[in-house]
Amino acid sequence: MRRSNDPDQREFTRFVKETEPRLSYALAAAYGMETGAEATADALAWAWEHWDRVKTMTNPGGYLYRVGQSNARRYHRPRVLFPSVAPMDEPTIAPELPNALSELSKNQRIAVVLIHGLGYTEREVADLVGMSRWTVRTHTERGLQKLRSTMGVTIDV
Amino acid sequence: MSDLGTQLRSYFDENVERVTPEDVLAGRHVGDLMPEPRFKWRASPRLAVGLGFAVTVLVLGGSLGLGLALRQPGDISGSGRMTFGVGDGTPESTGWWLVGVAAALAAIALVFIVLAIRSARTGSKRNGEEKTMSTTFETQEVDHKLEDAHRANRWLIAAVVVLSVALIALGAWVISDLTAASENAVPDDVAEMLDDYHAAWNTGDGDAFMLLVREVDYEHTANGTSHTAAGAADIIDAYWGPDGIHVEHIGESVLLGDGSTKYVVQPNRVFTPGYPDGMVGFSILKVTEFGDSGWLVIDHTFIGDWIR
Repeated sequence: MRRSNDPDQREFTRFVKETEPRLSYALAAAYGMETGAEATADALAWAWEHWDRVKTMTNPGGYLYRVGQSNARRYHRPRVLFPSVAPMDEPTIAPELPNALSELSKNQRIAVVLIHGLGYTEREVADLVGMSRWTVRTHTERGLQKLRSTMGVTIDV
Repeated sequence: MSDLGTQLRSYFDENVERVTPEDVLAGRHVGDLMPEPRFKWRASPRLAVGLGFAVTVLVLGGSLGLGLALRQPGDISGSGRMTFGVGDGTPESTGWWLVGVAAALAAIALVFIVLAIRSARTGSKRNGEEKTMSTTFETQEVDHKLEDAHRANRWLIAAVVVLSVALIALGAWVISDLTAASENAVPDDVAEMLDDYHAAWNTGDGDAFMLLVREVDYEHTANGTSHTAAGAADIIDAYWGPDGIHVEHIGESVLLGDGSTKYVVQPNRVFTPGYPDGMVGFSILKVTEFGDSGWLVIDHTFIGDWIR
């Protein structure tokens, strides 16, 4: 059983604040919003439970992504990975976006969302998902191309 | 409408359910019930080489084994040269060394596969796990054993098991094939009669010899020189002179033909005692089952050449 209030807790808090965003977005992009959120929560819970090990890892984010992946595969897959755009968001988000995202492969979604949407570097994404930078770049380019094609976007405004 | 990047960010910001450190710290202790991350298999060059070796062994061994199975004893090669051995009377066989070669190659393949598995297991060092293991070894020894078991890729294990079973089956098949009686093997009663026939020949026992041939039509031909049974005495004169001609089996005999009349082909060496070389060739013995007399020789043709 873990301690309740010690330096580890503070260290873990800092770790979660730093790691959780890309983990959440990557798993959501890969497995959908619902499954991604559950997988992220489980991965971080696992990290806290095994904090002695996780804190010494050189790439804990990548390891936890794999933990999340393992758990996500066990969950029931919802029929709709990405919910429709809320009416109030329609002026800024194209209604076609969720369906267009569903058309991409899992790796293409992760690369496009993290790099093109959230501004992570290719190296950060490569470390997170365990791919080479070149592979990540390829997924990004192909994913963007397909996304634009599906949404009928010719020029990014 | 904003650009695609902004849309993606907005959409995910709106829909992704974030997890805070407080959520985790206040949450359930589910870690114990959760599985370890699944090992992600990565192609390894060493694994590829190992599997390549194994497949080569199976294909090569299978082909050679099949060739052995289809080859008839006493085969004559494409050049027309007879292939049985001369000297110590032991027939040549490619089957036994095949088993040795297959076993050696399989051992090499196994080494490669084991190296590949070890390499794959340490592949998780990309995520820094190796460092973790080295720093917490003493306290988490049991955990590590469990991790290793989880991480051992089931497909690699299956491949090793399948290849091992296939190799054992191949070896068993080759050995079984080499030791099994051929459908062209000479039956015991015929072989026994022919042994007596050659023993009578070698000892010059005319009476015993005449009991084993059908006198009315027995004919002996050696490299074109023929003698008939009507003149069994001629045969004795011709072949059992002062020095005598001895026959020595130097290979496996083969039985050909159906029904009561059959042909036995024997690789033989024919020589005169005191003269070391002599001739090697084939004796083709036409034998028939003749009532109470049992198997009798009715024709004996020897085709051979001098040992040089």
